[in-house]
Amino acid sequence: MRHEIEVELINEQGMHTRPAKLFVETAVKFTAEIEVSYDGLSANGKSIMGLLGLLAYRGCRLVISATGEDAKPAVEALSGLVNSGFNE
Amino acid sequence: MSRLTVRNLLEDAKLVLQLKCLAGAQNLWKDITEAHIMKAGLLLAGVERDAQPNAIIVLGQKEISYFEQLKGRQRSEPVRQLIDFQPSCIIVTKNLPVPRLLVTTCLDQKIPLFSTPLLTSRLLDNLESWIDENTRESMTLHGVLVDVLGIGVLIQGPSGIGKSEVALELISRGHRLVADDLVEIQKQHGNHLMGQGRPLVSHHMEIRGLGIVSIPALFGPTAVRDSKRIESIVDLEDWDPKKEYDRLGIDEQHRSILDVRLPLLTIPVRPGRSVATIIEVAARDRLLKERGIHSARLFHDQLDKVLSSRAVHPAKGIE
Repeated sequence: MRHEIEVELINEQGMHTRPAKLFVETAVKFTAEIEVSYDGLSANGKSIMGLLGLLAYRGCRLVISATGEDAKPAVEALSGLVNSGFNE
Repeated sequence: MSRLTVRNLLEDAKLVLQLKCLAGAQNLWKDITEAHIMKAGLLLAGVERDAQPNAIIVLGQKEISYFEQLKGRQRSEPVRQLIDFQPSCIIVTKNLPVPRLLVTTCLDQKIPLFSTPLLTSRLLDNLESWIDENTRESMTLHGVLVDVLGIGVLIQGPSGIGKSEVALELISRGHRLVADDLVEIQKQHGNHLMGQGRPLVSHHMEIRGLGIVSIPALFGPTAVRDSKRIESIVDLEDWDPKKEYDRLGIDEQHRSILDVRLPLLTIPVRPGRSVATIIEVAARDRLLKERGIHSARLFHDQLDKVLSSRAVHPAKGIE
């Protein structure tokens, strides 16, 4: 199973350390493989350094995709997190 | 792969090629991505006939001198030969005087004709490397790239298997980190891969239990490097007792990235096994193999000899 969704980074800091940490903490709860793509790059959604490596700032549009049994709830949880502005 | 046209040569490669357009400016759309670059040479004399269409044809001192020694009407034949091959463009080097007939024919046929102050050898060199640089295939991969004893080792495996920890151990033994997690890969000269990390983050690592650490700050500037040719792949995986791992090392596994075939090692991870040591030994073994010494096969052959001689003379000992 594969699911993907496009989201916009709306929080002030963009993909900074704390948002990346929150993202990974949510991602590792799922068994699906998770990728986050931006600007032709795609990072492992379960790796903090990968997400930071995207150098994505406020306003950037990211594509979150998940492959695996729990792909759908994973994409929902992660897009919810991004859309909430990482609870900032 | 990005497509390049004659216009890119004229406009984007201005600094390295210094082309000036003499004719055919309205016809710069032709593709040069896989175009052959050729010196006109014997094309002019009508001897060579297998030029590829859309080639980039270069005229240097020899070709122009040949032209100049021809009289009047004789000159139209070599020009026709050139045009017949439908080159994507024609370049005259060294600011040599461009024969008027060539200019008028190119104007008439709308074939791009350029002149450059560069020497022929310099132009050919720059042209090839500029096209190569601008048509490189690239991609990003997850993994850690480490320079181990000069061998670029790309460590891959599922998240949480401990790639960063293995890399950290290699670094603390004096090997050099190139990129952690997000490795950008570029194919160069059609047959080798260069890997590099992302700006800012590539020389930092996230170690569970420690957080984000800066490798050059902790280990000094020699612990990192910006890019490295990728020469082998190591796949880490959880030890699966049911799976047969390579125990002899006689046959080699491979994996292709961007159609470049690289030797692949699959290393099972289990507590008490130092994966860093195994990778280091694998790099040493790779260096030996590059010098033509294949330890596993050599041992295999030596064993062969000893066993077959013992089969003939059972009492003989091993020398």
